[in-house]
Amino acid sequence: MVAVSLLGYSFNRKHQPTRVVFNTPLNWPKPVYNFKRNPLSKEGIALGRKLFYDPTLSRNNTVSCASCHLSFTAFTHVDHDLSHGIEDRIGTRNSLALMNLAWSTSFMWDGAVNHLDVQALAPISHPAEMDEEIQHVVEKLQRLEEYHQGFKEAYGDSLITGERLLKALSQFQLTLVSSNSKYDKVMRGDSGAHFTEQEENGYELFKTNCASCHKEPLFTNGGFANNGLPMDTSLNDKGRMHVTGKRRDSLLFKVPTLRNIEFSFPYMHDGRFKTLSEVMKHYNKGIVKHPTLSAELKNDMELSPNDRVDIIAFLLTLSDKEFLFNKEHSFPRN
Amino acid sequence: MKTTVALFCTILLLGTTSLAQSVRVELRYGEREFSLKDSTTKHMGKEIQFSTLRFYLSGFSLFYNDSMVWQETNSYHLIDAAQPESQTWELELPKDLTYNTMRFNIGIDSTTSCSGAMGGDLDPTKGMFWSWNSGYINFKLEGNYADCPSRNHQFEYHLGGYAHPYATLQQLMVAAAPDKPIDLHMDLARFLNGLNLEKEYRVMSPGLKAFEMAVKSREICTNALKK
Repeated sequence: MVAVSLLGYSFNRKHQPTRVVFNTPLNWPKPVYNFKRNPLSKEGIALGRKLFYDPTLSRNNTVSCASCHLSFTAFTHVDHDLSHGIEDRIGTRNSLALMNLAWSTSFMWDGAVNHLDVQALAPISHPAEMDEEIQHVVEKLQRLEEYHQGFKEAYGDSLITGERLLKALSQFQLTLVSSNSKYDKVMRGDSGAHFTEQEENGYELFKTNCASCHKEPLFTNGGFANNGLPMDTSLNDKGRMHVTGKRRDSLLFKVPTLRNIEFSFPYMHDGRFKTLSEVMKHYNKGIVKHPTLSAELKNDMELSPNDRVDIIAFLLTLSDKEFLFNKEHSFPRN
Repeated sequence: MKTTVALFCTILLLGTTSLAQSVRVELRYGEREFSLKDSTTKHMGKEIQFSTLRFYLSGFSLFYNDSMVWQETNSYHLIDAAQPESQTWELELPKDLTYNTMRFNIGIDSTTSCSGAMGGDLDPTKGMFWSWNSGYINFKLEGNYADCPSRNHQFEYHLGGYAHPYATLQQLMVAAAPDKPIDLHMDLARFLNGLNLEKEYRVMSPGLKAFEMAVKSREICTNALKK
């Protein structure tokens, strides 16, 4: 009698994933990601993290997401102007730093991807990145017992689909929130958090010269801009125009976040600038007056060397060591 | 015992208040049944072979004159010439529903195209979602024809795009009556009719060409009501 009822209990009790609440940092705008379609759970995040670090997603099982998006370096690929993917093939763009994705309305340097859930399809299918097909990824995962378990824990049964795999990857990536830099602590008025005089001066200059595109608190306005870079004729990359087909989008690229900029070198869509000094020099005197140049950059900034150093000092306050070294984000070891 | 009786009554009740009605998609090529890898099919007198035909039909709703009387939930269907089961499904309709037309789309609406990863017929593993310019491929037709100057004389039409002014979704209406299956007669010869395959054999991205071809694709539904 007891044995039968216990059996009945275990048949009826369905394992429920452990819900995780997404916390919006103080005074930040609401996330745009629709969590109702993909509610966060401990198990979903763990599955996504496992997938993020798994080279099985590539054709010859050598390239994972983490190959170009390393946790310690703001989830980007440092020291590479253009990333290398499978078989050392080189792409045409610099790896973007992944953070605060719940607030992003578009993805990739040209905004070709319209939703976080489908972003992974791009590197997975690109011949120079992972050179695989999502159908094959699903088939490969179906042959791995560890994933049967992972999908069962996240979704209630071990069915592996493209939708489930992509949503799990989203769940992990959504947890990559950076909001505890020195700048954040100063803004919140945390005790003991103060800008130095140099950083304060840099912040004021930043607000005047940079903040219309690199808007606080995300340090991007989520839009696209032509920031006057001379076109690299070895790449002929017209940016957003390749996506929209509109002439007015020629040479427009995503405004990236400046958070953790200290760690996400080299800079720009093709990684042409190795240091922040070079970036400042470009804005100071190097802007090319393309027809589609952003209105905000009509004039060179012409800042003094001291001012440029102060702006950089301010940018360094956007580094968030808690985010960079958070064990929950790095390679899963169990 | 009480639960069993209640369950039985519910089933009985459901049985008398709803009705299953079939939608049947008939794929044709002119006078013949549409078939893949069939070397006896002709276009302009020359042999044409189809290797792939997949397209989405979505947003099914029933109208009585100008009023919508019923809408299908999760109304997304991937029609695949290689999968006969995909070409027919059932609508669960309330009994005694009165209607005289059915409205549907060829393609997937823009909201769904912006909603991220979806499942079932919308799962990206179906090969009908663009990785590098997010959005669904509404209509995919591939094959070989000697006049195509491409590698292996391949033609590939991947019609998609939801952004203005080249939104490729097509809305159509057919006559429909209760107590009868609702048939959609799709004649692919109408799509190729007038196309010069020597010049127009590849469309793989959103834009003007895809838009023009999507408008042309409306003609495949031979029992569609004229506007």
